[in-house]
Amino acid sequence: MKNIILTFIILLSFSCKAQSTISLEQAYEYSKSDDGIPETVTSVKDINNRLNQFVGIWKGTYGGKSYEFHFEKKLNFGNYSVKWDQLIGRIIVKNSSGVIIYNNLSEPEEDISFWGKNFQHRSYVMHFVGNYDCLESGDVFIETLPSNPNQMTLYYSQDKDGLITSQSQCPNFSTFVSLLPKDKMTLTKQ
Amino acid sequence: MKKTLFLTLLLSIAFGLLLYSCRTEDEAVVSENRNNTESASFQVFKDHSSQYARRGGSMFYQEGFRDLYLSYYKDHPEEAPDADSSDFHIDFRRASQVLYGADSTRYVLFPFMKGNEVKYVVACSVNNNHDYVSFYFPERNKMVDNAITAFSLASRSNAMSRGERCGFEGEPPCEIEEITINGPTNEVTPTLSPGTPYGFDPDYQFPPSGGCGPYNNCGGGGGTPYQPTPITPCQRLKDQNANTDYQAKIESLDKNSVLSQKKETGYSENKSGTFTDLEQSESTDASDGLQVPDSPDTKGYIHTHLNDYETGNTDANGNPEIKSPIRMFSPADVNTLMVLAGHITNGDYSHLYGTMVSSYGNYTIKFTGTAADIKTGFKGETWRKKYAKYIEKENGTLEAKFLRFLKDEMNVQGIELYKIKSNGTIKKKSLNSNNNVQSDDCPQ
Repeated sequence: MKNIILTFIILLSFSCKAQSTISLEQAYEYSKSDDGIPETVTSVKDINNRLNQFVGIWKGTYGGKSYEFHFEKKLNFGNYSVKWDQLIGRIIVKNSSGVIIYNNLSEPEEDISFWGKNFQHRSYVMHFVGNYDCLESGDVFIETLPSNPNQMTLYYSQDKDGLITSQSQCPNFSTFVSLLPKDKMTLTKQ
Repeated sequence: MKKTLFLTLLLSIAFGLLLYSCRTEDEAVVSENRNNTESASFQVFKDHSSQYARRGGSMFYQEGFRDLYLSYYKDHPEEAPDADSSDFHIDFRRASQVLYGADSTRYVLFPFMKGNEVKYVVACSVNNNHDYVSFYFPERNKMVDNAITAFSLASRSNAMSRGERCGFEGEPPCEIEEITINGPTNEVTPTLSPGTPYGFDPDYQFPPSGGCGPYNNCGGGGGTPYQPTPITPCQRLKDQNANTDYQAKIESLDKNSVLSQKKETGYSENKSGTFTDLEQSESTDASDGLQVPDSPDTKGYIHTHLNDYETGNTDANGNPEIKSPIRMFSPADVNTLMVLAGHITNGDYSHLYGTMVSSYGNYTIKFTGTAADIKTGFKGETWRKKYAKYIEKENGTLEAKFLRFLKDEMNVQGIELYKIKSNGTIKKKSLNSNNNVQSDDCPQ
């Protein structure tokens, strides 16, 4: 009996130390805390297979610009202490004259400027970093429509923690407009 | 022939004597110069092992000025200020820290009293060669005001009644307590030009400005130029906590109504101790940020990192969507501190700081490295991407992630992280050999 209890305790201690996996929804809950994801967590998985709905090419227009998004799902991604199931995004943006003003289709995935984080309720939260001399960095919320999974909304929410040390860093700072719209735009799956 | 020989011999002797006398004169000139050099500087400032540095040299200059002042009037009692007819006197029990001018002139301030009240300050200065001293009233400015305030606070807590003056004959010796004056720092040229005290005319005489002769204190050999010892980050942070101006700024930011705004706010501080609102960029749909002045006159900055806030949009089920800002320093914040360090020329970076106020806690970063450790260029797109991903993807606390990012990704040396609690406790946060965060209390 004594040995059984001892074995149980040893197994329990192993399980406490074991590396653990959490879901993308749990990852959001941890992201709200300054203590972050516990050091025992080494994997964040798309346990509910919710990322698949976004995979593919999506197009839409907003503010006179046309947008094309390419979303790709990655498993166990990144060289971090936690491996992530996540999307990476690539974007082509054309202005009203059809001139390409942004294109990161060939950007290496390890340096990607548009990457996924976690699920906040219905939305998948991504992050985009553009011209950071002008502090362009923020979360991007994407969500398929309940009535039509071939359509989704997307908007950008600017970060508020930037510091600028010289005017020359971003001469047109006060009139700078980010690449992605702050208001929700609608995209259609191709 | 004999006559010619005799004349030649005489001329040779005369020439020899002439040469000898010239050489002697040269030596005399050299000797006199040497005497001048030695006698020109003050014995009291000769070195830290002198009799004047009674407490391990920690109050070396303060005690030196006090002793010169007191010994001058001991030798010249007829010139001494008439202590009986007025209540004006200098309180030698308290002095400021040593302030260093651009030309390495050392300044010390003492409280100038009327009765028990601090009315003004007296400035004492000695030049870098230690051969010229001055005692005078400085022109009034913010630093002088800070000094008056600091001395007043100290004297209120330990009032000296009339008759308890120290140092003169028949009075007890003066033990000097250092009162740190906010604002001036080692490399800042203190603005301490002679002036008139504000609001009153004490008609108070000081010992003469000049060399060591009238003070009967010659004999210093010039000595080794004194290099100020940089003050530790803990001491600097302790002083900063005691600075009422700084505390007022922290308190104005450290409240829910400010941290719950959708925009950062903050202040920069210049080397005279004046705070200025950090310029908020014009609010546009997309851009937001603070501009820290990149100037040799900037000493540090305080800014907020916000609480979670709603983006203003909801999902299809009506759930408000939330953003969680990174409540920790960013590479751009470190970059800003490094840029300020790049303006320092004397190797003492101890007064520079960057402070972040957030619901996670209030933190200050200090630079304790050398000029070779100053690295900038962490403010662009590459570093933003690296840091945002690191914070989002790594496990562990914000403190741990920041410190690991500094070490492993930015590879910078000399940036130290301190957490400052509202009760005044200061903890240094660093990584131990296991790469975990270690907290060390600053000495109280």
